[in-house]
Amino acid sequence: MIAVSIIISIPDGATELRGVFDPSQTVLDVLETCAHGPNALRTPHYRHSCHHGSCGTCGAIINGKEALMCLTRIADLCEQGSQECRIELKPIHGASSIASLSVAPHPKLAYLPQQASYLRHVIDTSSELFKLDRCIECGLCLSACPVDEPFMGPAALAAMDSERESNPAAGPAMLTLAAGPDGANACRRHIACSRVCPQGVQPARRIQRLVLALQTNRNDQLR
Amino acid sequence: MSARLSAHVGARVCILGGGGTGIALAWDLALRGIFVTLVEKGEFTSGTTGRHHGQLHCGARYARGDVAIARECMEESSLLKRLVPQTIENNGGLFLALDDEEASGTDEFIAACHAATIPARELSVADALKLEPAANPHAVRAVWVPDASFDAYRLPASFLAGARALGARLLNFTRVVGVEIAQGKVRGVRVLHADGREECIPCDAAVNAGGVWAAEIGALAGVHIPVSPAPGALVAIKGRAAQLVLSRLAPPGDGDILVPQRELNIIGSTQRMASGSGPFFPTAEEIIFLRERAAQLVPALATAPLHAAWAAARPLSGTANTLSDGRKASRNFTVLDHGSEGLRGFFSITGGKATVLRAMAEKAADAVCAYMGTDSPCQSARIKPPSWRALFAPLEAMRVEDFNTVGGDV
Ligand SMILES: Cc1cc2nc3c(=O)[nH]c(=O)nc-3n(C[C@H](O)[C@H](O)[C@H](O)COP(=O)(O)OP(=O)(O)OC[C@H]3O[C@@H](n4cnc5c(N)ncnc54)[C@H](O)[C@@H]3O)c2cc1C
Ligand code: SF4
Ligand code: FES
Repeated sequence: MIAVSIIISIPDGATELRGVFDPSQTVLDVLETCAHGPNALRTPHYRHSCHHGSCGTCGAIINGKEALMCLTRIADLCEQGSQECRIELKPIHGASSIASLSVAPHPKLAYLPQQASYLRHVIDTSSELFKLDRCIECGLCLSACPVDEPFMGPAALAAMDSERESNPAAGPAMLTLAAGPDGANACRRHIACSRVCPQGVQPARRIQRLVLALQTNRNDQLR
Repeated sequence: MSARLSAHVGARVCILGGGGTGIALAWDLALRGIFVTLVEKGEFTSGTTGRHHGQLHCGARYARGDVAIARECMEESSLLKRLVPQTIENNGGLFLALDDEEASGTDEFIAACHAATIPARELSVADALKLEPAANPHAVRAVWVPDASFDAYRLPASFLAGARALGARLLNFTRVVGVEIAQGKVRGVRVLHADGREECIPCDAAVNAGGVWAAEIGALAGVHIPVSPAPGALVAIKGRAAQLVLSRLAPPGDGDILVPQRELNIIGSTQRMASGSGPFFPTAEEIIFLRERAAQLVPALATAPLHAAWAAARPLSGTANTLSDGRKASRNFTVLDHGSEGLRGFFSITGGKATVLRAMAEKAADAVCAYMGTDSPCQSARIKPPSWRALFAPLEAMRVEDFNTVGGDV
């Protein structure tokens, strides 16, 4: 067991929650325990749903880095054998605040193409088995991305490329969406998105695939 | 095909609790032209709803126990596959008998499925292994059923997006703190917003969809609701070892379901009784137990890395109650009309499972509409909600005319 001190910093000030936890418990478990204890009304609001990295609601900036609270264990943040574990939580960047850690979904998720399928072939494009897309629309890549020019951001572009790959018929429509001035070409290749993505979507790589495809299209038109 | 929607009928309903049940009810009532306010103390689906396995039950699991529940699961799962296909991995499921004792129930199991309209069919073990190469090669018998897995969050979120598009007021991070009553009738619901503001929301009827918290919400209105929490542990294993929903061909028990989803295999669950409403966490023993049981179905799971372990509480209805339509509850959910206890316009909906969320909503909405004297019919079995992604877009971007029906005429 380890003493945990969670400091929630928001622009309005900071709140500290303390308790003793099993290091295999997650940051979300700590918040849940505080929310049900005697300090229930002092526990700040936070988003959560699935508790296993599937819904994408529980993102936060944990000790300076975007991560999901439900998949970040106390042991991941503090050295083994240390007396006390100090964890700083901040809401993700760019989303509008509801109260403390809870934010509305990141506004750039609105660029996710609603007509694109969320189902992917399990094995290859000919398989009849499907699985849900890797991207859980958590917006962590959007929070980490430092580009300030108008940019639709990594999540939507990654979705467009995934759709192009698994459903070739949708390719031209997806490329058209990605071709605008705030699309793939606005990427500055910081790769912050791929570093924080909890699902291994590798948005930076997908954006580069779009950039190349757009380039090839242009070359074809010039020829 | 585009759908024709009911005009506003000038009635207001507050729904207390924004899990799958409350959300489906918001959509169903909004489609009937009723002005809905949905109140949820945390994020929507932060109760039990987001945390279940995500098994879209075709009903086979319940076929030997209760044919009515099984048939209802079959009907509702087929309907959801058409209404919200983008949130469902419709890959089918296998029931496997791992020893002769389990195998001895196979014929009875298949007959029970057929009685509940579930198209179960026996496969040779070799054919089953072709469909699901990760399954235990020592299985003795195998039966295919139309089980599926779904996104526990995005399926209800699609209904939430639909309710929003129809003008429902959606209040998350808002806690119900009181129920206003005058002359034995519900007049409004008192809520506490995230910023500390209190508000009284006037309404003509209120529905308690509080899941394991239904008793606490009922107490605010002075009614007793026999619901108790039964927490269970779940485990997610990294990787997509299995592709189909896998179950044991034994009567339902602990650790006998494996639900593939996205890049994970989810194993569940255990069940224990508890007092209080949480928080619940899995114990180390439960995690080991679930992993061992799952490895019997899919040997590769014995060594695959653990992704997450968590717990969720089942809202078990305490006593058998009469349904609002007067029949004895052979369904697994109950709509309580508290009018009989002297509080008119207050309803509770308890029990059930995520697979039948729409059916629960339909029954509750029928009861509420009958009370309010509104006769607009149920449309939620016909009209497809928009994508959950509509929740990310500004409200103005939503066009209600875009709603489609599931085939057939309007
Ligand atoms: C371990 C486990 C596994 C399961 N697996 C499956 C499965 O595979 N398939 C399936 O179909 N079903 C499954 N179920 C069943 C299913 O999860 C539940 O039946 C369903 O999610 C219940 O939804 P609900 O909306 O009724 O309750 P909840 O989701 O709990 O919603 C109630 C809501 O009320 C809110 N609330 C409480 N008090 C207040 C208040 N004062 N003010 C405002 N809001 C309040 C809560 O925050 C909560 O969000 C499983 C259940 C468990 C426990
Ligand atoms: S690409 Fe990764 S980080 Fe970005 S929204 Fe999707 S899952 Fe989250
Ligand atoms: S709670 Fe769903 S991703 Fe963390």
